[in-house]
Amino acid sequence: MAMRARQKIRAPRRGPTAGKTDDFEKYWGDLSTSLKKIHTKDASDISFELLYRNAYGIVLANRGPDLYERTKALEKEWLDGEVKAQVTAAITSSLLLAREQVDVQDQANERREAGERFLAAIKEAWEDHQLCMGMITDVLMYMDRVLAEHRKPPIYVAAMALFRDHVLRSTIRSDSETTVYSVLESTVLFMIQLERSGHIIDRPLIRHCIYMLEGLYETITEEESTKLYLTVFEPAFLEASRKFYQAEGRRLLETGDAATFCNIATERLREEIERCADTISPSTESKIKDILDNELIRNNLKEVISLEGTGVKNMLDNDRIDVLQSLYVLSARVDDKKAPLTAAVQKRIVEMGKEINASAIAAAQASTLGVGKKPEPGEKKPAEKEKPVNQQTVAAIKWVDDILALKQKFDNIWMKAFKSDQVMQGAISSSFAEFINLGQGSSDSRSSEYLSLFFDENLKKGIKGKTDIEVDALLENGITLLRYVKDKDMFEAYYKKHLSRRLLMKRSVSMDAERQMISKMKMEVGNQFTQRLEAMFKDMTISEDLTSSYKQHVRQASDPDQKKVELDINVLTSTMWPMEIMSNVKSDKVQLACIFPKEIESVKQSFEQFYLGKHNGRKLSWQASMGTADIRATFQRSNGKTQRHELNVSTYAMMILMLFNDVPAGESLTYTDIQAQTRIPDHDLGRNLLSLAVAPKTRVLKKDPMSKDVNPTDRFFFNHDFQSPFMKVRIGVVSGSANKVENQDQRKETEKKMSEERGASIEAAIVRIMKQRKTLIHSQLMTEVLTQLSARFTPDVNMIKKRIESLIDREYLERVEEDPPTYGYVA
Amino acid sequence: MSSSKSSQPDYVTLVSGDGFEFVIPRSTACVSGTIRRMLDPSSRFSEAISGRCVLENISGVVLEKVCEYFCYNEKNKHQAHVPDMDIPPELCLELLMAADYLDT
Amino acid sequence: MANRRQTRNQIRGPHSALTDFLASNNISAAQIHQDHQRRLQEAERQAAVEEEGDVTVGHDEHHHVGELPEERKKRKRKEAVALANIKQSKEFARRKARRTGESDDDDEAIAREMMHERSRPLPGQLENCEACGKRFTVTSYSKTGSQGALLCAKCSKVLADDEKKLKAKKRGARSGRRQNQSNLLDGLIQQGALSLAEMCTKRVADNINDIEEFGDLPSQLLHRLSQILCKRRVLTPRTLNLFLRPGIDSIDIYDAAKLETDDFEKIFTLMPNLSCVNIRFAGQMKDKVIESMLGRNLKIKRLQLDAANLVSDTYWRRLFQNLGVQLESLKLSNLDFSLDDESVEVLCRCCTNLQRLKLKQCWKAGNHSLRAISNLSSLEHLSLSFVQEVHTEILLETISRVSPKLQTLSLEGFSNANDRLLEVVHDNCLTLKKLRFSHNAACSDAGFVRLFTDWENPPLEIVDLSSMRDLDNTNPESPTDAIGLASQGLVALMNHSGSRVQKLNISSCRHVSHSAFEEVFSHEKTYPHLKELDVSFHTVIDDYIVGRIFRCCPKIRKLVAFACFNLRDVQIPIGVALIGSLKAQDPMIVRSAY
Repeated sequence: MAMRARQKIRAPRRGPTAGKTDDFEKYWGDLSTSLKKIHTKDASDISFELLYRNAYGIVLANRGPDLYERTKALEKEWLDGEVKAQVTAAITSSLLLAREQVDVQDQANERREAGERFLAAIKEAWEDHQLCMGMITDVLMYMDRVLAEHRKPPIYVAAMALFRDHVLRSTIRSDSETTVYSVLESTVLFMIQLERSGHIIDRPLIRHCIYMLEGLYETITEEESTKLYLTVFEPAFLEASRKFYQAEGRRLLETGDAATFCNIATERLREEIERCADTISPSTESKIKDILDNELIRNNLKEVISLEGTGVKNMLDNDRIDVLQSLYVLSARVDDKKAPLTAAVQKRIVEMGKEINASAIAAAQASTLGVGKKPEPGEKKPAEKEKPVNQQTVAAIKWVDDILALKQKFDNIWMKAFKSDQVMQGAISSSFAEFINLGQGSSDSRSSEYLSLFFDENLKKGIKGKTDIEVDALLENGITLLRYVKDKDMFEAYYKKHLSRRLLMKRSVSMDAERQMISKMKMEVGNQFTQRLEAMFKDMTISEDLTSSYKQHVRQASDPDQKKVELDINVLTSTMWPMEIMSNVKSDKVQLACIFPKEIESVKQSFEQFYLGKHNGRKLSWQASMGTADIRATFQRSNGKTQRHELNVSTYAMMILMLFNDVPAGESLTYTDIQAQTRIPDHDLGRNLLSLAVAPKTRVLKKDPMSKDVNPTDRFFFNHDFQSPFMKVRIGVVSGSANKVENQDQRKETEKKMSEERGASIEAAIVRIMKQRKTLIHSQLMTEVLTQLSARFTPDVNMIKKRIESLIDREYLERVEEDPPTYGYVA
Repeated sequence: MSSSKSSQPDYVTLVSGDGFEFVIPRSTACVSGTIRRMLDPSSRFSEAISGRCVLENISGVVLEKVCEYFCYNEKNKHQAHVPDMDIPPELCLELLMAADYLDT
Repeated sequence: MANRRQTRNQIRGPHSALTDFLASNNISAAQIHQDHQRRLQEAERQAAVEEEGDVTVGHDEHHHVGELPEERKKRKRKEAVALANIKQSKEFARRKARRTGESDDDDEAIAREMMHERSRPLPGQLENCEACGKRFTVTSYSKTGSQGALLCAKCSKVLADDEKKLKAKKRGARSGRRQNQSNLLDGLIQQGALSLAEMCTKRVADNINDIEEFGDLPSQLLHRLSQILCKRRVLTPRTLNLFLRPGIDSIDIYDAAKLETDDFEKIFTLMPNLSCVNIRFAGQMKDKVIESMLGRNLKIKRLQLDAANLVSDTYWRRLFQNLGVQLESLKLSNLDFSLDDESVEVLCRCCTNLQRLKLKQCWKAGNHSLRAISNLSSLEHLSLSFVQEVHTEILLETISRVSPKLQTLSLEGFSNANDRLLEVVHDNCLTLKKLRFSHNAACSDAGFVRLFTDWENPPLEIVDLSSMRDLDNTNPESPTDAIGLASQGLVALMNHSGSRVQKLNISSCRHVSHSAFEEVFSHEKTYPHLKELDVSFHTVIDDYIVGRIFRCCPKIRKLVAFACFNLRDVQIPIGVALIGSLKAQDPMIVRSAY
């Protein structure tokens, strides 16, 4: 059992000073000599341990605070004397002279050199101070540790504050107000100014001086926000920059070249970012960018964009993609919406669009004049086949092509210069829509019609010999424009009309292309839109079957020796096809059904029997105006020869010609006779007679008197002397058989129909909504109707109101309340 | 002993007030904040140049214990729940003063 | 072998000072009583045996010569019963447990050994010492030597010293984990070795009784030593003397419960340079002490006294008058019925340079005190915990008047302060760094939202809004309407102060929703300075939220989560103390049961 004698623990030996306060001065004396040596970079023979031990002893003797104050005083003296002298010695008069601008080149050079010397002196003083204070702090670390509990800032911090006050903020001469700092600031700003005007400066040197400002604080607690850099230098720098860029902005505007402005602004931005990274502080980057954005870009952008001759208009016209791109980038910096640029682009699009509109109208008018001079442009020669029907149609197609080209141009700009910006895309689209729909509702707007004609032309001829891909692209282009057309119902009407002609007259080049077109429209506009078009196709297919099965039927049922009249029939669902084709009603007059020749009548009855036998309860009405007939005509030449021709004529023409079967040779029929016997409508009769008796190549009839118009008293003879180099002769009807731009009357007609149809659509929509909602406030009802119909057309608010009234009158709706006006659905 | 600031494993010499010398790795000695600063190559004090620290007011007995602690500290740097080092009671006050002095 | 440490792990109530004293001298009252009883019993039994003329020196019961067969039988039976009894005893079980692995791992042997021990001389008898052979009087404190016989007082002491050292060592090794758990509860997670200074300080504290003086020990080390000694409750009049050094200007005694009135006087006599005084549990601080302070013209700038409730109001007033404008900081706590309103008024009239004032649990302070405090124009730190109910109006006025320089505002127990107080804080306090406002059921979530929304005050660093909740025992479910800080308030708080907050206590603010926590600790949020967070009694906290907390708070060191029952299996980052979760407690329970 080890027994340890109770042992008292020794108190540690005392430190060197051992509480004897008299020793303080001695130790401080040694210490201060050494600290001075540190400042004069003469420390290599100094023992750290000795200094540390001295400081430790002093602190242990509770003289820490004294040591702290003495050290501060020593530093202050050093800075006030040596350091300040060094720094102020480097200040020359050129640094103090012109504090604003130095215009003269050699003066600037002189000042720069002096500035560099001065900055180097500051940098050296600062770096020495940091280094020495680092060493001194190390030596005095024990003091710092103990005094930290007395809430004293570390000696290093205190010494930095001394540097701030006794070097930077000291005046350069006792009789001057100017401080070292203010010289520093003006020198650095001067250097930056030099660099901005293209000189090369010593960036690292400035960066070092900025480091110093970032390492010094206003307060002893060293809050981030009180860095001298932030409190003093940065504001000055930003203010100087603001002035500079204000001036630069003015200067650039005066030179009046938008492209230069964009290039310089872009370059300035890059420069400033680089400056923040290399010369001053990265923390300033966002602030200087703000200044550039505000002073240089935002304040001038609008004017730059609208600069005469070099602004956006010019850039767009000349496809200056590069400049537009930098303009776009600059705009995006200051404005999410890029309002001025967007507006300029939009304005230019509308202008160019209007030009296209105007040239189309001009072309159309030119052709109208042409029509006046040459009243029978519809007359066909084989050579003319490939040509568009008339000038107006040419204008229409040119219009579409022009717009497509414009679109192409702006798509290109949008993609390359505007970085496929969403907002810009919207703006461009809306501008296209704007001019395309310009004058919507008035007779000026022909976009729907033109577009439909474009399709018509292409589907009839344009796509011949093109590959599938080309066709697809062509149609796609058209569809793009369709996207901009607001009144889709108008387009639909035209398309239907044109389509029906193509279908009934078999003018389509490719049914595939037609179907492709339908499916494209379906994707673009929706199911509802193409429903009726598709129904038309369906009717055509069914009719084909029907025709063949009817032929079958006839073969089986009828007696074989009867002179056969072959019938190709298209049964059309009346609601799906264009109204003017379907209606028997014209100009509010009831038109009696025309009288077919016997042979035809019997075929007609036979078919009706056949058809109604299949589909009980349906009503067939015959549209003779749309039909054609092949008839074989025998011409007894005066020389006794007979010449046969096969004539391809309209149904009406066939009916007229058939009359002459019963007319003895040399006899004639008057217009009135013909009308009485056929009941062909006036208009059609006239046109048909014109083509039979007046058109130079197809004069199967002779007219007396021979003139270019048809009067009721005219008499018609069968022309046995009809000559034609061809066996088969096609006799077209003067105007009306081909799709072309409507004339004013037709247009009014179309519009009237349109508005009736719209009325019906609106009513349908109202009833649909009300049936679902039962009661609804007026404004809400309006909104819903508008949204429901917007895909097809933009309904007129007054029209909706009228329709609501009308529905109330007809007791579909009732007024439930007056304030706010509310309607109820009457079941 | 090598006192150069080479990349070789570097040793420094600690000398007690009564003349005992302890040669230990530099990194180990730098467990002490005071010695670390003393040897900091960027300051140009004589200790940093020579790699030799004379600790005038620490006795050999205590300095030995201090060196032991340096090693103990290095060894347990990344461990949790480190058992205390054995400290003879009669040394504890002096060691405490030394620890305070050396910022350890 | 020592046999008295066995009670160590039993849970006991609070110690009295006496118990502590005895314990520190390794004396247990219960043990003494037990030993005494046992010796008495042994003596009786032995006397019975001796009466039968069968005395054997050395108590060798294996050789009972001349014993009658029946007596022998009887004795054997008795012995068997005694052995059986011993085998049943806890003591036996413990001893056996301790001996497992030893060669004499034999129930019988152990039992016999124990029986031997019990049959020792009674106190008052004479006995020869086992070690030195001297004859001595047996007392109840006499110890057993290595052979099982008793030792004289001197040898006992030597043995006791050795044993103590042994024990200390053993404890060091075995209680490591336990100590770690204890540290964990304090939020201390040690990585790597302790600093040499800290280790030495502890060693000095271990050997405090052997130290004669501290010499030149600098005051920061004295402070730390005082903390450790006070925590161990060994700061006695003797150890106090070590700290009394005239050159030093501060004294910190965290537990002065063992000091006498004279000791307090001694502090002020021996340390004339004192400027910072911090004495807690100063129960024996009496008028006399103040009187002696007054005479010495002390330069006290900072004064903190706790539990000095024997000082009369007259002396408080005289003290305040005496210290006057030099006093910068005053913290008084647990003064009970000492210090009345009038004294506080004197304080506020005389000590106009007060920058820091803390009044806690001074029962008599009320409305008048509050009104007086409103005149302190230099106040930067104000902490109040009143027992008396005060008028809200006065409180509001006081806060708005002292607010301009205020960095710390701590209000506890102002139960009727409502949203208007928050409004006053919002409108007037613009330099706060620390805000504590706890134990209140009158403020609403909306009030907190308004406080933290568009508040010109920079982000707070320390926030304690704990126990802002309704406390109504008849309605344990708590009201459905949010009371105190709730979801929106927390979100607003973190939006305002998240960037700087270091310590945040929102325990028992029971209306914070899971989604609010999710929002506050969502992926894009970080709280770069948050080190300590208390979310106790937030039952919505789950593993996910805690995981998010660890993600969002890179510097967190301490997360207190008592009664967060949804915490099951949290991954705790290295160096973070998660306190109070079931997982953290489990090992504690297991280990304290050995």
